[in-house]
Amino acid sequence: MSLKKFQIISIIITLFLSIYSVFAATDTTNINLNVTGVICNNNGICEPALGENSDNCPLDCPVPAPPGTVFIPDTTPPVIYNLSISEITLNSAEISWDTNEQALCQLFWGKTQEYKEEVISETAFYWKHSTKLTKLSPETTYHFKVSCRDTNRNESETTDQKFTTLTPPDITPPANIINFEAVPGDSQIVLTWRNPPDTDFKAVKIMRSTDFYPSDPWSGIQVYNGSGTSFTDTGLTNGLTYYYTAFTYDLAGNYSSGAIASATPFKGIPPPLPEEIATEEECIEAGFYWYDNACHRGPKLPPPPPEIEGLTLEDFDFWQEDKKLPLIDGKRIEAKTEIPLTISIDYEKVPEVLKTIMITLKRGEKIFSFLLRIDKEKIKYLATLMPPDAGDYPLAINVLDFKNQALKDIPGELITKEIEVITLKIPWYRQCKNWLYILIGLLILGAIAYFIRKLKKQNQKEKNKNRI
Amino acid sequence: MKNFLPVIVFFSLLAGACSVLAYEMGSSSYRIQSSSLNVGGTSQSSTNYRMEETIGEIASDESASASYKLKAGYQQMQEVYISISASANVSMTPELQAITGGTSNGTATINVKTDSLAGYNLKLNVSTTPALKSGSAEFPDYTEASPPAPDYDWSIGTANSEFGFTPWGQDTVQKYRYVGTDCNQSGGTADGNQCWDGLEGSTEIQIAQSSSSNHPSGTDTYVKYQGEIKSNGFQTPGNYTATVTATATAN
Repeated sequence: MSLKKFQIISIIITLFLSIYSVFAATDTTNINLNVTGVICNNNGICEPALGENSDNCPLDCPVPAPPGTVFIPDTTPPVIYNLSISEITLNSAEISWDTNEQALCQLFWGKTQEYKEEVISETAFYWKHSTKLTKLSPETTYHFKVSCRDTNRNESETTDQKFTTLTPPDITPPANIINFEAVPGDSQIVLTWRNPPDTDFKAVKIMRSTDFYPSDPWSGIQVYNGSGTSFTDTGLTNGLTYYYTAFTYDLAGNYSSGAIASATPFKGIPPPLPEEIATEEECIEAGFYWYDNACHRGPKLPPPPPEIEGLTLEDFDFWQEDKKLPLIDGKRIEAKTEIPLTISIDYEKVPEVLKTIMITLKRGEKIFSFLLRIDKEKIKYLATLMPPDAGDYPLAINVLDFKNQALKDIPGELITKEIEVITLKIPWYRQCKNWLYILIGLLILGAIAYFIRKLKKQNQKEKNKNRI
Repeated sequence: MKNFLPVIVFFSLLAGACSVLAYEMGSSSYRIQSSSLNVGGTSQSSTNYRMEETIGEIASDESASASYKLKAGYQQMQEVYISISASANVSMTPELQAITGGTSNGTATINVKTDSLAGYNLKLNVSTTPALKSGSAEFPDYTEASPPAPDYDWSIGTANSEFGFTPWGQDTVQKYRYVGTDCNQSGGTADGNQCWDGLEGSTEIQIAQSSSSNHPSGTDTYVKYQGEIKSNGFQTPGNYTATVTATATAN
């Protein structure tokens, strides 16, 4: 090879080397899986391919009887015993039973004795049997029976068995108290109310604060806990406003959203309300705020954020007996008395900074207010209350910010009506007493006719005698 | 041309000696980490050894001080390091009952370290078909609904028993990544719960890849193995073992 060729080939090889180099490394892992159990699968079929034989699987592969042996057939069905139902939950139950010989069993179950839900079949012969029923409905009675057969196809069956799944826990709070009033006096405030009609109502817990209405049953100071309908809060400071929230709770410990009332105790003449003050001087002297040519309890607030400003009564839902009540003319709600009324708004409709939503009903000069509280799933703010007696009540929904300053007042009207008792008109012929009257009338008519006829006959006889 | 060739050779020698042409080259399919011009060299190997030789470079060696390390010369620069370490044994739990069946799982961790600028590939294969065996008893490999695409959900017949795997880790290949309920999704998730596949004997199955170096810590790839015996199925009792070989190749 000439020098030139050597030089050219060397250059090419050297360049190629850098492409050709490949480096690799390996390592091994042993994956182990242990499968336990006997070779015999006890399914009544002799399967030599699986390793079953008469030694390790006598049920599937019985030893053939020697010639001349008298064959005594097994005609005794398996005995099912120790049948038990355990671990019953809201939607499942475990059923187990034993048989006195190895048996292949089926469990039939359903809501009736027709057992239409499912048939659970075993695939092998066992002494001890168990199965779990799932996807059951809470508080529902289920029927089942067990049917077993031995290797000689002798069958036995249990009678109908039944069990009832557990009742779901009560998570529905009672309605709020009604007519919650706070009447101030000298160093005291008298609280009065009416308890809701819920059958599982247990008591009322009243919390107090001097900042604002306690928003849950653990905020503020507890002043009352009982099932009464009034309480006098004493030892208070005159001139200081006290805020009360009354939470009802039931036997399961569910608390209502809270009914609220506030008052300022005083000595002597009660201080004037801001709306009763007509001049700026008196207003400021009384500790109130003067703007827009009127006296107000609080300072003038900046305009609310747009998501609050845009809220209307249509954003709120009103429910009775699981039915949504229609909003009439965008401002009126018609509800029945004596049936809890739930008011709610979707959590997403109000911003996170929002702290308090109140609903206020006005009856004459009195005002009754309730808090809307976020539910556990953070889906809705809601409150349940008992509608007042039949009548028209101005309603207001007040949205407050985290500083408890009013952001928006949404006016409306609640019209309550008594539940109509419909009396069906029964046709006269379907009323038993009418037929009784007719019968008596007929009897009287018959008797009268009988006596008239008898009288006529008597008169006729007398006439005949006179002629003779 | 006659006088031009010696000039090229001269400059090649000069360049090789100074290693000034050690630079990266690449195309859409390949990358050359470095190259040099020199006069010759080749690769030789025996059963136990392998030698890479280069002729024509001068001052090529490794030298070091307290703060610096110098690798001078083409062969020094060409050194690519790759290592792999995998879990020695994985015992799947729980034990399965031959008749009543059940599902058993185990996870192996494979760490690959490389300073290859072009990254690495990681593949699995097994020594037997099916992978899990106990004497003459066999535990069938997982069969996908539409092979070779992995199944989003693990699913086997009501009377079957099967053994499969799914890998996950930052370098998991697209085949085992899912979006929604579809595997083989670019940028999808690989979490060891979806996209199940069966081993295929000596055929290597790629489970991870990277296009960059990852030294010194390396990258872990996890392989979740799963075996299931359906209650209507039956599996001969025994201690089943699969020997899985993981091979990492520097790009």
